[in-house]
Amino acid sequence: MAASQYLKIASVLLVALICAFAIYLAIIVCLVNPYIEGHTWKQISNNLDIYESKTGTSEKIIYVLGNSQVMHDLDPAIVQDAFTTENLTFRVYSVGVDDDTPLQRLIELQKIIQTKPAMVILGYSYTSFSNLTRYVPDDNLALLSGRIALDQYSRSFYTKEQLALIDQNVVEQQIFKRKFIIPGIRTMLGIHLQERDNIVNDTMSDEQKNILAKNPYDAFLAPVYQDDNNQKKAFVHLTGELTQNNISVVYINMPLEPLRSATIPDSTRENFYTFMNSTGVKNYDFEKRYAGNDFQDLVHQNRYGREKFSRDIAAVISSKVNGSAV
Amino acid sequence: MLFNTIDYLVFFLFVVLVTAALHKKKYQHLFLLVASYYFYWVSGSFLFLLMIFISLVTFYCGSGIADPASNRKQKKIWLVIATVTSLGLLGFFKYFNFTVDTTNGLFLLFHIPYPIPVFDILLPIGISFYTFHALSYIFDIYLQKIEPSKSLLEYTLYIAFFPQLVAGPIVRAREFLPQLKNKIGIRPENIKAGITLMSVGIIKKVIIADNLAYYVNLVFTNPTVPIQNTNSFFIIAGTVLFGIQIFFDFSGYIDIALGSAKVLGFELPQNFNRPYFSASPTEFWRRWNITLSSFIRDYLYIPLGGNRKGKVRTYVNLMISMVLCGLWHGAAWNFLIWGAYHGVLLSAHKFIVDKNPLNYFRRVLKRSESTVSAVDTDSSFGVRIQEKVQKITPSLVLKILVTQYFIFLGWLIFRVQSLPDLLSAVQKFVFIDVQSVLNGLIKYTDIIQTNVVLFGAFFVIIGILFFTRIRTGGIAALVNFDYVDYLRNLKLAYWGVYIMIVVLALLCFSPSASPEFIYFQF
Repeated sequence: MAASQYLKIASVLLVALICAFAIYLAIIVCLVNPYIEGHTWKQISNNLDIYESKTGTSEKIIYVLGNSQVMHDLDPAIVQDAFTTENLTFRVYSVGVDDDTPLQRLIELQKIIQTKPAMVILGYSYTSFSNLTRYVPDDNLALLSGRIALDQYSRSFYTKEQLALIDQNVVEQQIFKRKFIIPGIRTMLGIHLQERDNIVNDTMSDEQKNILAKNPYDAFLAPVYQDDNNQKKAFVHLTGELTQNNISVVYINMPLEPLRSATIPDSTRENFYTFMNSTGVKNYDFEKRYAGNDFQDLVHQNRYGREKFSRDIAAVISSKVNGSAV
Repeated sequence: MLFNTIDYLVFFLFVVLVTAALHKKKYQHLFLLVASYYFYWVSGSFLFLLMIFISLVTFYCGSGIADPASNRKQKKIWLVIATVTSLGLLGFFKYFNFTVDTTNGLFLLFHIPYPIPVFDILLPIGISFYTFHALSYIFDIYLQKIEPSKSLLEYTLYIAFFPQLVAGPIVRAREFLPQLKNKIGIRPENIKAGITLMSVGIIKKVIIADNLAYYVNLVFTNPTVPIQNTNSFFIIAGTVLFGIQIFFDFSGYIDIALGSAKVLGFELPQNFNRPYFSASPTEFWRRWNITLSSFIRDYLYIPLGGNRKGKVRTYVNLMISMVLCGLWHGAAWNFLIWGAYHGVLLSAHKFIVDKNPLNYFRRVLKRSESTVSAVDTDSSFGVRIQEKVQKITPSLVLKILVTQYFIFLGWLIFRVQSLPDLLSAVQKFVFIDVQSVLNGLIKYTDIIQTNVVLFGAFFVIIGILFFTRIRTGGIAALVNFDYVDYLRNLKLAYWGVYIMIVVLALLCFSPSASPEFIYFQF
């Protein structure tokens, strides 16, 4: 009698656990997955899909890596047309990611190498090399876990907690997604978060508010200093690994709207080029090449700018391949 | 090893299965003792040896006190040895550096150039709790309330029993040792009741307290915004949320402890009884951390004279008791001030009640009816309270609100750790900047909306489930409703649905990082 009671309780507990997990997975599939579809991890995931599909093919590939500037400013179709005119058989893939940094690109490095591309073009701006620039968001690490192949050196950039996220299994990854349930519900109910950076800004001291009022771009500009940081180290590692695998690497200092360009301190520019020249990577400065009417905002180009920039990139590739000057 | 981790669940399942498999009582006790030491070792490494030392000293001193051959003086010597050893070790580990820091501060003030060195002392987890367990055993033997335990195994298990080891409740030997007389039986009804209690505790801790911790820390430990630059809205919101957090954190821990013990067939004392429905500070201390407040009442307040030596002595005794109660929580000025603040609240309440002539007649009337008063006026610790909240009237609601205003002001003192911050925070809590509060409410309507939707849905479900009960008994019926008892008595299938909801809620709403239980640090 007692034994059957124990068995009943154990069975009920087991069934309750299974049902709870099943309902949870349904919530993740129906509510969370559509909600996180638009996040940057998905852009990286799409890039990984491209690399996986190109591994082992005979295609002559050129990847253009970078942040949202690459996504907005480069039209691969225009580059491809220019190649056709010049009888070049390369295939260009724009694999930009919003808010990208060299550190985040280490996630893709091994898979890029596996596809044996002919060339990799890196398109960033000063902010990507600043000490103030964000590191890789934990959400991206967690949502891409299982697909991230980091070498030992690249792993050293991450904390113990971040490595745990990178190495988590499928079940842990599904459980991690619970943090998106409340934002998902909020979106579903149409409750939108008000415009504010975070609660911290609302609790700023008067002194902090004064500093921000006098220097509104300080946080946005993210100056580059002389000292080393993880972004610079990641860039050196990224370009070094690519070069070692006989992949040609080019760096493009991405175009900026003239008003924005004028706010960049000279020290930042100087420190940046000191660093860039020390890496030995061939680099091209496009920062001041375009007029204000080629931009849709301070950093992203409009369709006129995009056309010009894409043709210029085609010329860079062509010169690199043919060995002529741009 | 935290109660809210998978590690604990695995450990607990193993303990239950092995205990059930063992046939002899002695082996069961021995296994539970080893398991408890293992639990402590995982949580606090080699410092479990300190616990063994205190257990041995107090066990043999207890035998010495109860020895018929001992005369009164010898009994006192045994008592002093046990007390000094236990409190000495507690004092060294918990208060040494605080005392040295304070002394060095005074030296600096008087330009004495001989600072005392501060040591890197690791505070043993749960030392405040197991020291009090041991002391209650010694005091009760001395006061001839209990006979000393004849079995060292049983006594050491009483001190080390893992559910109550790290953060209470403070169990008296007379409550625990008799439960070791019989063989431990793992009964189906106890499993169901215990798991129900544990599930309630985990929900309180993980879903409520841990989610609130994020917002509380944003106000009180925000590195970019010092407390002195924080406005009234954030101070009030942070204080209210901390009051809720600490209740759910601590009572959640206690529920898991009680539930774990229940599965193993042990009954541990309740530590909370709806403290935020208290209508006076005195009542609050009979509803909050009940085992600690009753320990202080029995072994400090009453021996000091309680309320038997005149009004002034009563106030002094209350102050001493509460200051020491504050210090028990930690070696810091804010805990000391918090204790003193509650001493003042209790004294003030007693003073007001004593000065009110109506209360005298009420008291006489109630005594003649041989009933127990909900608001005890004879002693600030002495008489037990009514279990349930009375009929809710506007005056009771007002009393509760006024009391809770002062209790939550106390939580602000408890939470803010530096003295300059404390002054600034208290000022903003007391002299409310209405404009900042209104602005804050307007600015965070989205967060408020989200929580209204989430919690609103919960309360609507509760309302539907208990519609009949509310209709017949009013809000008081809902407040007094024993939901744990209700849940554990559900039919097995419905109980399974409840467990499923708990697991689902944990999967969906637990924060990614779960902080330690607040009372672990004490």
